[in-house]
Amino acid sequence: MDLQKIINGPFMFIITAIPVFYVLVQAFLFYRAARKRGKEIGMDDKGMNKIVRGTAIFSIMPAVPILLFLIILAPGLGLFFPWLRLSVIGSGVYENLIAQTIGTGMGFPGLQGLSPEAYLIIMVTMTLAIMAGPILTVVALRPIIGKLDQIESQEGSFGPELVPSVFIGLLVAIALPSLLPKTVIIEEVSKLQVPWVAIVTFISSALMVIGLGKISQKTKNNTIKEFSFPVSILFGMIVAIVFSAIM
Amino acid sequence: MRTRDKYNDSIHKLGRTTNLIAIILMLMVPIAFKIYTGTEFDTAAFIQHGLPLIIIYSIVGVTEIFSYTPVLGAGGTYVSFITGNISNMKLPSSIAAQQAINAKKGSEEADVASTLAIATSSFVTVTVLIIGLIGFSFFKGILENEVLAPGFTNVLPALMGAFATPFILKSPKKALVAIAFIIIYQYILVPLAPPKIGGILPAFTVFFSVLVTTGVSYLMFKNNKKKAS
Repeated sequence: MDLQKIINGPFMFIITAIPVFYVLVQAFLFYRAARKRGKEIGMDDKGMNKIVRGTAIFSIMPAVPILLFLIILAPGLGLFFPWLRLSVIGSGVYENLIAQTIGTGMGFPGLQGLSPEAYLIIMVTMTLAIMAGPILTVVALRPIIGKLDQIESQEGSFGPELVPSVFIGLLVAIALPSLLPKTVIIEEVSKLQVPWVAIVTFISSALMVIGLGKISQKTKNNTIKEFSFPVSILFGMIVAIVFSAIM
Repeated sequence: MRTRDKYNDSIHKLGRTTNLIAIILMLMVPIAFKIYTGTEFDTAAFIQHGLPLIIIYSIVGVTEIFSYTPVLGAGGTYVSFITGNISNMKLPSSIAAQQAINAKKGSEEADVASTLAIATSSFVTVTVLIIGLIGFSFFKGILENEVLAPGFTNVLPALMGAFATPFILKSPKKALVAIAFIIIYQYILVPLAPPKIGGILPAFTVFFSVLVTTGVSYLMFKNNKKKAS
Protein backbone atom coordinates (compact mmCIF):
# COMPACT_ATOMS: atom_id res chain seq x y z
CA MET A 1 0.00 0.00 0.00
CA ASP A 2 1.34 3.44 -0.94
CA LEU A 3 0.51 5.42 2.17
CA GLN A 4 1.57 8.79 0.75
CA LYS A 5 -0.74 8.29 -2.23
CA ILE A 6 -3.70 7.57 0.05
CA ILE A 7 -3.10 10.38 2.55
CA ASN A 8 -2.69 12.91 -0.25
CA GLY A 9 -5.49 11.45 -2.37
CA PRO A 10 -9.21 12.10 -2.93
CA PHE A 11 -10.40 9.63 -0.26
CA MET A 12 -8.53 11.46 2.48
CA PHE A 13 -9.71 14.81 1.15
CA ILE A 14 -13.36 13.74 1.32
CA ILE A 15 -13.26 12.28 4.83
CA THR A 16 -11.46 15.34 6.21
CA ALA A 17 -13.46 17.92 4.25
CA ILE A 18 -16.76 16.72 5.77
CA PRO A 19 -15.92 17.78 9.37
CA VAL A 20 -14.22 20.98 8.16
CA PHE A 21 -17.29 22.12 6.25
CA TYR A 22 -19.59 20.94 9.03
CA VAL A 23 -17.74 23.20 11.47
CA LEU A 24 -18.22 26.13 9.10
CA VAL A 25 -21.96 25.44 9.19
CA GLN A 26 -21.84 25.19 12.99
CA ALA A 27 -20.02 28.52 13.27
CA PHE A 28 -22.65 30.05 10.98
CA LEU A 29 -25.50 28.74 13.18
CA PHE A 30 -23.95 30.33 16.26
CA TYR A 31 -23.28 33.52 14.33
CA ARG A 32 -26.93 33.68 13.29
CA ALA A 33 -28.19 32.94 16.83
CA ALA A 34 -25.93 35.62 18.35
CA ARG A 35 -26.89 38.15 15.71
CA LYS A 36 -30.60 37.53 16.35
CA ARG A 37 -30.12 37.85 20.10
CA GLY A 38 -28.06 41.01 19.61
CA LYS A 39 -31.01 42.60 17.81
CA GLU A 40 -33.43 41.46 20.51
CA ILE A 41 -31.44 43.13 23.27
CA GLY A 42 -31.05 46.36 21.29
CA MET A 43 -27.59 46.05 19.74
CA ASP A 44 -27.57 47.83 16.39
CA ASP A 45 -26.39 46.37 13.09
CA LYS A 46 -23.60 48.92 12.88
CA GLY A 47 -22.09 47.76 16.19
CA MET A 48 -22.37 44.10 15.28
CA ASN A 49 -20.88 44.70 11.82
CA LYS A 50 -18.01 46.49 13.53
CA ILE A 51 -17.34 43.38 15.62
CA VAL A 52 -17.41 41.12 12.55
CA ARG A 53 -15.18 43.42 10.48
CA GLY A 54 -12.72 43.98 13.33
CA THR A 55 -12.48 40.26 14.12
CA ALA A 56 -12.04 39.27 10.48
CA ILE A 57 -9.12 41.68 10.02
CA PHE A 58 -7.68 40.88 13.45
CA SER A 59 -7.77 37.10 12.81
CA ILE A 60 -5.87 37.00 9.51
CA MET A 61 -2.36 37.48 10.92
CA PRO A 62 -2.61 34.90 13.76
CA ALA A 63 -4.09 32.42 11.24
CA VAL A 64 -1.06 32.60 8.95
CA PRO A 65 1.39 30.85 11.35
CA ILE A 66 -1.06 27.93 11.51
CA LEU A 67 -0.05 27.38 7.88
CA LEU A 68 3.50 26.91 9.13
CA PHE A 69 2.38 23.82 11.04
CA LEU A 70 0.68 22.55 7.90
CA ILE A 71 4.03 22.87 6.14
CA ILE A 72 5.81 21.08 9.03
CA LEU A 73 3.30 18.21 9.23
CA ALA A 74 2.43 17.73 5.53
CA PRO A 75 5.60 15.83 4.43
CA GLY A 76 4.97 13.07 7.00
CA LEU A 77 1.20 13.12 7.54
CA GLY A 78 0.05 14.26 4.09
CA LEU A 79 -1.83 17.45 3.32
CA PHE A 80 -5.37 16.64 4.37
CA PHE A 81 -5.24 15.19 7.88
CA PRO A 82 -3.11 18.09 9.25
CA TRP A 83 -5.45 20.45 7.36
CA LEU A 84 -8.39 18.99 9.30
CA ARG A 85 -6.61 19.08 12.66
CA LEU A 86 -5.42 22.65 12.21
CA SER A 87 -8.73 23.98 10.77
CA VAL A 88 -10.84 22.31 13.39
CA ILE A 89 -10.33 21.67 17.09
CA GLY A 90 -6.55 21.49 17.11
CA SER A 91 -3.66 23.73 17.83
CA GLY A 92 -0.43 23.62 15.86
CA VAL A 93 1.82 23.03 18.85
CA TYR A 94 -0.20 20.12 20.30
CA GLU A 95 -0.73 18.40 16.99
CA ASN A 96 2.94 18.59 16.07
CA LEU A 97 4.05 17.38 19.50
CA ILE A 98 1.74 14.36 19.43
CA ALA A 99 2.73 13.39 15.88
CA GLN A 100 6.47 13.74 16.54
CA THR A 101 6.31 11.90 19.89
CA ILE A 102 4.48 8.88 18.47
CA GLY A 103 6.45 8.90 15.20
CA THR A 104 9.78 8.91 17.06
CA GLY A 105 8.53 6.36 19.63
CA MET A 106 7.52 3.94 16.87
CA GLY A 107 10.79 4.32 14.99
CA PHE A 108 9.89 7.00 12.44
CA PRO A 109 11.84 10.10 13.51
CA GLY A 110 10.77 13.26 11.70
CA LEU A 111 7.65 11.33 10.57
CA GLN A 112 9.63 9.99 7.63
CA GLY A 113 8.43 6.77 5.98
CA LEU A 114 5.54 6.19 8.41
CA SER A 115 3.89 2.78 8.27
CA PRO A 116 0.06 2.69 7.94
CA GLU A 117 -0.10 1.24 11.51
CA ALA A 118 1.89 4.16 12.95
CA TYR A 119 -0.17 6.60 10.89
CA LEU A 120 -3.41 5.15 12.27
CA ILE A 121 -2.14 5.41 15.87
CA ILE A 122 -1.17 9.05 15.27
CA MET A 123 -4.65 9.75 13.86
CA VAL A 124 -6.42 8.04 16.76
CA THR A 125 -4.24 9.73 19.38
CA MET A 126 -4.58 13.21 17.86
CA THR A 127 -8.34 12.71 17.65
CA LEU A 128 -8.86 11.36 21.17
CA ALA A 129 -6.28 13.49 23.00
CA ILE A 130 -8.19 16.68 22.43
CA MET A 131 -11.70 15.25 22.91
CA ALA A 132 -12.05 15.89 26.65
CA GLY A 133 -12.84 19.59 26.14
CA PRO A 134 -15.56 19.10 23.49
CA ILE A 135 -17.11 16.17 25.41
CA LEU A 136 -17.19 18.26 28.57
CA THR A 137 -19.01 21.05 26.71
CA VAL A 138 -21.71 18.55 25.72
CA VAL A 139 -22.20 17.03 29.17
CA ALA A 140 -21.32 19.76 31.64
CA LEU A 141 -21.06 23.26 30.17
CA ARG A 142 -24.58 24.23 31.18
CA PRO A 143 -24.11 23.57 34.93
CA ILE A 144 -20.63 25.16 34.80
CA ILE A 145 -22.02 28.36 33.23
CA GLY A 146 -24.96 28.33 35.66
CA LYS A 147 -22.61 28.18 38.64
CA LEU A 148 -20.40 30.93 37.19
CA ASP A 149 -23.41 33.21 36.61
CA GLN A 150 -24.51 32.60 40.18
CA ILE A 151 -21.07 33.54 41.56
CA GLU A 152 -20.70 36.59 39.32
CA SER A 153 -24.11 38.02 40.18
CA GLN A 154 -23.56 38.13 43.95
CA GLU A 155 -23.36 41.86 44.76
CA GLY A 156 -20.67 42.86 47.23
CA SER A 157 -18.99 39.47 46.91
CA PHE A 158 -15.86 38.47 44.97
CA GLY A 159 -18.15 37.42 42.09
CA PRO A 160 -17.78 40.49 39.84
CA GLU A 161 -13.98 40.29 40.29
CA LEU A 162 -13.87 36.65 39.17
CA VAL A 163 -13.77 37.15 35.38
CA PRO A 164 -11.13 39.93 35.44
CA SER A 165 -8.92 37.75 37.68
CA VAL A 166 -9.29 34.69 35.45
CA PHE A 167 -8.64 36.90 32.46
CA ILE A 168 -5.34 38.34 33.73
CA GLY A 169 -4.19 34.86 34.77
CA LEU A 170 -4.93 33.63 31.25
CA LEU A 171 -3.25 36.51 29.42
CA VAL A 172 -0.04 36.43 31.42
CA ALA A 173 0.21 32.64 31.12
CA ILE A 174 -0.15 32.84 27.34
CA ALA A 175 2.08 35.89 26.80
CA LEU A 176 4.94 35.50 29.26
CA PRO A 177 6.50 32.07 28.52
CA SER A 178 7.46 33.15 24.97
CA LEU A 179 9.40 36.11 26.46
CA LEU A 180 11.38 34.15 29.06
CA PRO A 181 14.76 32.47 28.56
CA LYS A 182 14.35 28.73 28.20
CA THR A 183 17.22 27.41 30.32
CA VAL A 184 16.50 26.03 33.76
CA ILE A 185 20.08 25.17 34.78
CA ILE A 186 21.05 27.59 37.55
CA GLU A 187 24.82 27.16 36.92
CA GLU A 188 24.33 28.32 33.36
CA VAL A 189 22.53 31.54 34.17
CA SER A 190 25.29 33.52 32.47
CA LYS A 191 24.58 31.60 29.26
CA LEU A 192 20.85 32.34 29.33
CA GLN A 193 19.53 32.67 25.81
CA VAL A 194 17.27 35.66 26.11
CA PRO A 195 14.64 35.73 23.32
CA TRP A 196 15.43 39.33 22.40
CA VAL A 197 13.47 39.25 19.14
CA ALA A 198 10.31 38.15 20.96
CA ILE A 199 10.82 40.76 23.71
CA VAL A 200 11.41 43.61 21.24
CA THR A 201 8.41 42.43 19.19
CA PHE A 202 6.18 42.38 22.29
CA ILE A 203 7.29 45.87 23.40
CA SER A 204 6.91 47.32 19.87
CA SER A 205 3.35 46.13 19.40
CA ALA A 206 2.51 47.15 22.99
CA LEU A 207 3.79 50.69 22.40
CA MET A 208 1.99 50.85 19.07
CA VAL A 209 -1.37 49.82 20.53
CA ILE A 210 -1.00 52.29 23.41
CA GLY A 211 0.01 55.07 21.00
CA LEU A 212 -2.87 54.39 18.64
CA GLY A 213 -5.27 54.28 21.60
CA LYS A 214 -4.09 57.71 22.72
CA ILE A 215 -4.34 59.16 19.19
CA SER A 216 -7.83 57.72 18.81
CA GLN A 217 -8.86 59.24 22.15
CA LYS A 218 -7.46 62.66 21.30
CA THR A 219 -8.85 62.80 17.78
CA LYS A 220 -12.06 60.93 18.73
CA ASN A 221 -11.45 58.80 15.65
CA ASN A 222 -13.04 55.38 16.14
CA THR A 223 -11.54 53.94 12.95
CA ILE A 224 -8.05 54.21 14.49
CA LYS A 225 -9.28 52.34 17.59
CA GLU A 226 -10.94 49.69 15.45
CA PHE A 227 -7.75 48.98 13.50
CA SER A 228 -5.31 49.44 16.38
CA PHE A 229 -4.97 45.68 17.10
CA PRO A 230 -4.25 44.42 13.56
CA VAL A 231 -1.98 47.40 12.84
CA SER A 232 -0.02 46.81 16.06
CA ILE A 233 0.34 43.06 15.37
CA LEU A 234 1.59 43.79 11.86
CA PHE A 235 3.97 46.42 13.22
CA GLY A 236 5.33 43.94 15.78
CA MET A 237 5.91 41.36 13.03
CA ILE A 238 7.74 43.90 10.85
CA VAL A 239 9.92 44.89 13.83
CA ALA A 240 10.71 41.17 14.37
CA ILE A 241 11.86 40.87 10.75
CA VAL A 242 13.96 44.05 10.85
CA PHE A 243 15.45 43.33 14.31
CA SER A 244 16.39 39.77 13.29
CA ALA A 245 18.05 41.07 10.14
CA ILE A 246 20.25 43.61 11.96
CA MET A 247 21.06 41.44 15.01
CA MET B 1 -38.44 39.42 23.26
CA ARG B 2 -37.16 36.14 24.69
CA THR B 3 -35.87 36.21 28.25
CA ARG B 4 -32.16 35.65 28.84
CA ASP B 5 -32.96 32.19 30.22
CA LYS B 6 -34.81 31.23 27.04
CA TYR B 7 -31.93 32.44 24.88
CA ASN B 8 -29.46 30.52 27.06
CA ASP B 9 -31.64 27.41 26.72
CA SER B 10 -31.52 27.68 22.93
CA ILE B 11 -27.73 28.25 22.90
CA HIS B 12 -27.08 25.23 25.12
CA LYS B 13 -29.37 23.09 22.99
CA LEU B 14 -27.62 24.24 19.81
CA GLY B 15 -24.19 23.79 21.40
CA ARG B 16 -24.80 20.32 22.75
CA THR B 17 -26.34 19.05 19.51
CA THR B 18 -23.80 20.56 17.11
CA ASN B 19 -20.77 19.66 19.27
CA LEU B 20 -21.97 16.07 19.60
CA ILE B 21 -22.28 15.79 15.81
CA ALA B 22 -18.82 17.38 15.41
CA ILE B 23 -17.30 14.86 17.86
CA ILE B 24 -18.87 11.93 15.94
CA LEU B 25 -17.65 13.30 12.58
CA MET B 26 -14.13 13.69 13.89
CA LEU B 27 -14.09 10.18 15.33
CA MET B 28 -15.23 8.86 11.96
CA VAL B 29 -12.02 10.04 10.23
CA PRO B 30 -9.58 7.46 11.70
CA ILE B 31 -12.31 4.80 11.55
CA ALA B 32 -12.89 5.49 7.84
CA PHE B 33 -9.12 5.38 7.20
CA LYS B 34 -8.85 2.02 8.99
CA ILE B 35 -11.74 0.51 7.02
CA TYR B 36 -10.63 1.92 3.65
CA THR B 37 -6.99 0.86 3.96
CA GLY B 38 -7.57 -2.32 6.00
CA THR B 39 -4.83 -1.23 8.40
CA GLU B 40 -4.47 -3.30 11.58
CA PHE B 41 -4.83 -1.35 14.81
CA ASP B 42 -1.73 -2.08 16.88
CA THR B 43 -3.22 -2.02 20.39
CA ALA B 44 0.09 -2.62 22.19
CA ALA B 45 1.80 0.27 20.38
CA PHE B 46 -1.23 2.46 21.02
CA ILE B 47 -1.14 1.74 24.77
CA GLN B 48 2.59 2.39 24.87
CA HIS B 49 2.80 5.54 22.73
CA GLY B 50 -0.69 7.03 22.34
CA LEU B 51 -2.55 6.43 25.59
CA PRO B 52 -0.19 8.42 27.89
CA LEU B 53 -0.58 11.45 25.58
CA ILE B 54 -4.37 11.05 25.57
CA ILE B 55 -4.46 10.97 29.39
CA ILE B 56 -2.27 14.08 29.72
CA TYR B 57 -4.15 16.10 27.10
CA SER B 58 -7.52 15.03 28.48
CA ILE B 59 -6.60 16.49 31.86
CA VAL B 60 -5.41 19.67 30.09
CA GLY B 61 -8.72 19.77 28.15
CA VAL B 62 -10.76 19.58 31.35
CA THR B 63 -8.75 22.36 33.01
CA GLU B 64 -9.08 24.51 29.86
CA ILE B 65 -12.87 24.50 30.12
CA PHE B 66 -12.68 26.00 33.62
CA SER B 67 -10.01 28.51 32.56
CA TYR B 68 -11.59 29.82 29.36
CA THR B 69 -15.36 29.60 29.92
CA PRO B 70 -15.68 32.63 32.24
CA VAL B 71 -14.22 34.83 29.50
CA LEU B 72 -15.66 33.22 26.35
CA GLY B 73 -19.27 32.80 27.54
CA ALA B 74 -21.58 29.92 26.59
CA GLY B 75 -21.85 30.36 22.80
CA GLY B 76 -18.17 31.23 22.48
CA THR B 77 -17.10 28.17 24.51
CA TYR B 78 -19.15 25.72 22.44
CA VAL B 79 -17.67 26.98 19.15
CA SER B 80 -14.13 27.47 20.50
CA PHE B 81 -13.77 23.95 21.84
CA ILE B 82 -14.62 22.55 18.41
CA THR B 83 -12.71 25.03 16.26
CA GLY B 84 -9.57 25.09 18.44
CA ASN B 85 -6.71 27.60 18.44
CA ILE B 86 -8.24 29.15 21.55
CA SER B 87 -5.31 30.97 23.13
CA ASN B 88 -3.87 32.41 19.92
CA MET B 89 -7.11 33.28 18.09
CA LYS B 90 -10.45 32.77 19.82
CA LEU B 91 -9.64 34.36 23.17
CA PRO B 92 -8.07 37.55 21.70
CA SER B 93 -10.94 37.86 19.18
CA SER B 94 -13.54 37.46 21.91
CA ILE B 95 -11.97 40.06 24.19
CA ALA B 96 -11.28 42.54 21.39
CA ALA B 97 -14.94 42.30 20.35
CA GLN B 98 -16.22 42.82 23.91
CA GLN B 99 -13.91 45.79 24.23
CA ALA B 100 -14.92 47.27 20.85
CA ILE B 101 -18.50 47.73 22.04
CA ASN B 102 -17.49 48.54 25.65
CA ALA B 103 -19.51 45.57 26.90
CA LYS B 104 -19.47 44.86 30.62
CA LYS B 105 -17.75 41.53 31.32
CA GLY B 106 -20.29 38.77 31.89
CA SER B 107 -23.16 40.85 30.40
CA GLU B 108 -25.41 39.58 27.64
CA GLU B 109 -23.90 42.07 25.17
CA ALA B 110 -20.46 40.66 25.98
CA ASP B 111 -21.76 37.13 25.39
CA VAL B 112 -23.25 38.09 21.99
CA ALA B 113 -20.07 39.97 20.97
CA SER B 114 -17.90 37.01 22.01
CA THR B 115 -20.00 34.51 20.02
CA LEU B 116 -20.03 36.72 16.92
CA ALA B 117 -16.26 37.21 17.12
CA ILE B 118 -15.44 33.54 17.68
CA ALA B 119 -17.71 32.43 14.82
CA THR B 120 -16.10 35.02 12.52
CA SER B 121 -12.62 34.02 13.64
CA SER B 122 -13.46 30.38 12.85
CA PHE B 123 -14.51 31.36 9.30
CA VAL B 124 -11.21 33.22 8.86
CA THR B 125 -9.06 30.32 10.12
CA VAL B 126 -10.77 27.79 7.87
CA THR B 127 -10.64 30.18 4.89
CA VAL B 128 -6.93 30.90 5.40
CA LEU B 129 -6.23 27.15 5.62
CA ILE B 130 -8.29 26.41 2.50
CA ILE B 131 -6.34 29.10 0.62
CA GLY B 132 -3.14 27.66 2.13
CA LEU B 133 -4.08 24.19 0.97
CA ILE B 134 -4.81 25.36 -2.58
CA GLY B 135 -1.65 27.48 -2.82
CA PHE B 136 0.50 25.16 -0.68
CA SER B 137 3.71 25.49 -2.71
CA PHE B 138 3.38 29.26 -3.01
CA PHE B 139 2.84 29.82 0.74
CA LYS B 140 5.55 27.31 1.61
CA GLY B 141 8.01 29.54 -0.24
CA ILE B 142 6.87 32.67 1.59
CA LEU B 143 6.62 31.18 5.08
CA GLU B 144 9.99 29.47 4.81
CA ASN B 145 11.70 32.58 3.43
CA GLU B 146 14.65 33.23 5.74
CA VAL B 147 14.15 36.99 5.90
CA LEU B 148 10.40 36.86 6.57
CA ALA B 149 10.42 33.83 8.91
CA PRO B 150 11.06 35.79 12.16
CA GLY B 151 7.87 37.75 11.50
CA PHE B 152 5.80 34.58 11.40
CA THR B 153 7.52 32.84 14.31
CA ASN B 154 6.96 35.91 16.49
CA VAL B 155 3.25 36.37 15.89
CA LEU B 156 2.44 35.37 19.48
CA PRO B 157 4.60 38.09 21.12
CA ALA B 158 3.27 40.61 18.56
CA LEU B 159 -0.31 39.55 19.27
CA MET B 160 0.10 39.53 23.02
CA GLY B 161 2.00 42.82 23.11
CA ALA B 162 -0.89 44.53 21.37
CA PHE B 163 -3.59 42.65 23.13
CA ALA B 164 -2.47 41.91 26.71
CA THR B 165 -0.60 45.12 27.56
CA PRO B 166 -3.65 47.41 27.98
CA PHE B 167 -5.28 44.89 30.32
CA ILE B 168 -2.08 44.29 32.29
CA LEU B 169 -1.66 48.05 32.76
CA LYS B 170 -5.26 48.30 33.96
CA SER B 171 -4.81 45.59 36.64
CA PRO B 172 -1.12 45.81 37.61
CA LYS B 173 -1.50 44.06 40.99
CA LYS B 174 -3.24 41.01 39.51
CA ALA B 175 -0.75 40.96 36.62
CA LEU B 176 2.21 41.04 39.03
CA VAL B 177 0.78 38.04 40.88
CA ALA B 178 0.48 36.12 37.60
CA ILE B 179 3.96 37.18 36.39
CA ALA B 180 5.59 36.17 39.70
CA PHE B 181 3.79 32.85 39.64
CA ILE B 182 4.80 32.02 36.05
CA ILE B 183 8.47 32.79 36.80
CA ILE B 184 8.43 30.63 39.97
CA TYR B 185 6.56 27.88 38.13
CA GLN B 186 8.86 27.82 35.10
CA TYR B 187 12.19 28.21 36.89
CA ILE B 188 11.62 26.53 40.26
CA LEU B 189 8.59 24.23 40.37
CA VAL B 190 8.98 22.59 36.94
CA PRO B 191 12.75 21.88 37.29
CA LEU B 192 12.32 20.61 40.87
CA ALA B 193 9.55 18.17 39.93
CA PRO B 194 10.50 14.56 39.14
CA PRO B 195 11.38 14.30 35.40
CA LYS B 196 8.21 12.42 34.46
CA ILE B 197 5.94 15.03 36.05
CA GLY B 198 8.17 18.00 35.13
CA GLY B 199 7.85 17.07 31.48
CA ILE B 200 4.08 17.52 31.48
CA LEU B 201 3.79 20.46 33.89
CA PRO B 202 4.24 23.17 31.19
CA ALA B 203 0.94 21.98 29.66
CA PHE B 204 -0.83 23.09 32.86
CA THR B 205 0.71 26.59 33.02
CA VAL B 206 -2.52 28.33 32.00
CA PHE B 207 -4.67 26.45 34.49
CA PHE B 208 -2.39 27.01 37.47
CA SER B 209 -1.85 30.65 36.53
CA VAL B 210 -5.63 31.20 36.48
CA LEU B 211 -6.03 29.32 39.76
CA VAL B 212 -3.27 31.24 41.59
CA THR B 213 -4.21 34.67 40.18
CA THR B 214 -7.86 34.17 41.08
CA GLY B 215 -6.99 32.77 44.53
CA VAL B 216 -4.65 35.65 45.40
CA SER B 217 -7.15 38.19 43.98
CA TYR B 218 -9.78 36.67 46.27
CA LEU B 219 -7.50 37.03 49.30
CA MET B 220 -6.72 40.66 48.33
CA PHE B 221 -10.45 41.32 47.95
CA LYS B 222 -11.19 39.87 51.39
CA ASN B 223 -8.34 41.85 52.92
CA ASN B 224 -9.56 45.11 51.39
CA LYS B 225 -13.07 44.43 52.63
CA LYS B 226 -11.81 43.80 56.13
CA LYS B 227 -9.85 47.05 56.09
CA ALA B 228 -12.85 48.98 54.79
CA SER B 229 -15.12 47.66 57.52
